[in-house]
Amino acid sequence: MKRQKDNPEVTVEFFGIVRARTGIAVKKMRGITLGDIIQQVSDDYPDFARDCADGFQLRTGFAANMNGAAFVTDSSTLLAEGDVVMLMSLDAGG
Amino acid sequence: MSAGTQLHGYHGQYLWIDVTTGAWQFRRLPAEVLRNVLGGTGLAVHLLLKDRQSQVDPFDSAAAIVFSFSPLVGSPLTTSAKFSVVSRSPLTGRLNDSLASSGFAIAGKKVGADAIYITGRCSELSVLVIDDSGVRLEAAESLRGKTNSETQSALKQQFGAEYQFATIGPAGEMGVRFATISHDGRHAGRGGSGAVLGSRNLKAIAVQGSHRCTWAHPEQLIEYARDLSRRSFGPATAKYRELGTASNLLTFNRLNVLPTRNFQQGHFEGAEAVSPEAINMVREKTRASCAACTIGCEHLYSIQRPESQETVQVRLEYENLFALGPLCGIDDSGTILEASHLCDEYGIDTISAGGTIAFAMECAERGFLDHPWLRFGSKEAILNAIHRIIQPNDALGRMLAGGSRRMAQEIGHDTIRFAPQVKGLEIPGYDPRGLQMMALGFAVGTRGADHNRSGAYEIDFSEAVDRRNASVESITMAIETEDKAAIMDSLILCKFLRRVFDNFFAESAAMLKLVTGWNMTESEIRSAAVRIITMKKQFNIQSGWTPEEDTLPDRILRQPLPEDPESRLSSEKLQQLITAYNLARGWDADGWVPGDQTGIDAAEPS
Ligand code: SF4
Repeated sequence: MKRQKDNPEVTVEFFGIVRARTGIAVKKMRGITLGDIIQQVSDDYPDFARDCADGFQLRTGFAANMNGAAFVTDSSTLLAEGDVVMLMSLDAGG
Repeated sequence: MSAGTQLHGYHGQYLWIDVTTGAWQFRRLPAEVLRNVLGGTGLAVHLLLKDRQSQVDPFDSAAAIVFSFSPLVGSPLTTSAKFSVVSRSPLTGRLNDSLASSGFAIAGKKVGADAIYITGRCSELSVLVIDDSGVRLEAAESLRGKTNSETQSALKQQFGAEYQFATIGPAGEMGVRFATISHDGRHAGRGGSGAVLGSRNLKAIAVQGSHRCTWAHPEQLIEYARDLSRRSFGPATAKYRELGTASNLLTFNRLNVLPTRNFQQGHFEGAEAVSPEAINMVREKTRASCAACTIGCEHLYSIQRPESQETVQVRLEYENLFALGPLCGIDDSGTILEASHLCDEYGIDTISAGGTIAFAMECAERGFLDHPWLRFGSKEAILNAIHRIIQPNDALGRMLAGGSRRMAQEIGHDTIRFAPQVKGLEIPGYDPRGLQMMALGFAVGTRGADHNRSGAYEIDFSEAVDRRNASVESITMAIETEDKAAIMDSLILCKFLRRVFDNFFAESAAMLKLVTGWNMTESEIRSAAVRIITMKKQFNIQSGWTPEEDTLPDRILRQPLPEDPESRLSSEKLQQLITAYNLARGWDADGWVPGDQTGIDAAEPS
């Protein structure tokens, strides 16, 4: 259902710990909401599911950035065809 | 040496030393002062304000430099082995507090003092030795010109393993205004404290002692420390343990906030090549940590030195990677690691070195500086420039050694517009146009553009603000990050622990209670943070601060980021943020502090 091919296709980019847990840098995925994407990544990558997410929600300390602009953590955020979703650790400092 | 009163966690005294005469004495620190300023940076600023050090030239023999410890040093609390070095900065002329870690903090506190206050100037290059038999100076002429690691190994041989050393490299001896103080591969890096020590003719400080502080509630403290260590292994610190701070590089590059070629761009086309992800594929890596740390964020890469062919380990963090890489247009990881190694050995702050060299490269490319070899992206140029910073008779080297603001003043042609500094301190690796809460943090920072005294980038990297169009409603969040940093620098704990706490101020009160027995509330800890920040501001005001200093370079305020035109920040916008910040702090709109809020009691004995 969540991966249905009439759902918007988005590009998901992975950074930092999120990349380390999935082993991938970028992937095309389909989903209606941000939560759909997080759930699919969790289903496909158990290490991501363990450390970065709780089902369809990102854990504290992680965030998604939409199209290089706003940061979002709300899983119900709607996706549009062609969106770029960046998944990253919030801890940018150092 | 005898320790002072019956306090827990503190000795209740500091060690005052005049290296001109060799005189020294312990001076009492009343409990109420310690409660007000906690330790570390807070305590050091208190001592400097009390002696009106804000008005003394940092290179004058009457100037002081304070090494300050905290109530938590020596306790089992993870990441607590840290010390603060505070003085007036030769780079900015304002307050400079920088922190470093490890065994020097533990051994330094065991000399029986909560801080070591050094003034005067030795007649010859010396090592200041503080141990159970007292304080003395030993000749160090044989160490002149030696690098940090050469100096540390010579001193270890001479004094033995019970001593710990804080050293300067050739840069500190020569008065490079962004020289560091080093200990065991860690650096009190920013603002030129190494040059202040060098101007006292001190090559090193050696400490050894046997005076331990007692803890008020030892059993509960050990229990609490165990729990904190356990939490420090969790996901909140995974980034630091597994990847290190350098993993910021690709994220920042993707968001177009990676300062590139002296802040002319926010995106570097060579970022992938110099990312830790790429370096990990081709170089051997080891991990290390400071004493008493369960996180272990140090990621060390092996390099072979170009001339000697010797293999050495170089620590790579985001700041040295960005400053000696993209900021100078360098896309070769070997060059960045070699440049970092040179900075560490010569005792130079990597951010200021990279910022000043990037500025010089732009000046040369624009024809304002007659050194055509200084080109963005040139591997030879960056290494040559670093070498020249410590050449006494090299005219370009002497200019670079003053930092980008002084260099711009010398070159003229209005180059100050693009000198990458605030109050003279070079800007770290966060482009303020795309991270506007951080822009505020840089502008109002007491020591200049700084990512450790304001953590406002955390707000930029959240859904709380539009990072490219920040509003005054978010000011209180920026203030909260500054307040947290003031406590972390005074208690002292590593900032990489910050996400481990659910309620940082309440847990700080709890830790302090276990160590000292004091029943301070969360709100008293918050008040201490505000007090420390106000004291730092008052130091600056006494040293000649004016509101015009709280700004950003013209380039940042006039040119949007070319890759992301929505990342733009006008001087009017920045001024709105600064005014709102000043008022929220209880200061006037320009940032002047009403009345005397230094908390210095004129009747308190020196
Ligand atoms: S996290 Fe890193 S910097 Fe902090 S105390 Fe541990 S090793 Fe040192």
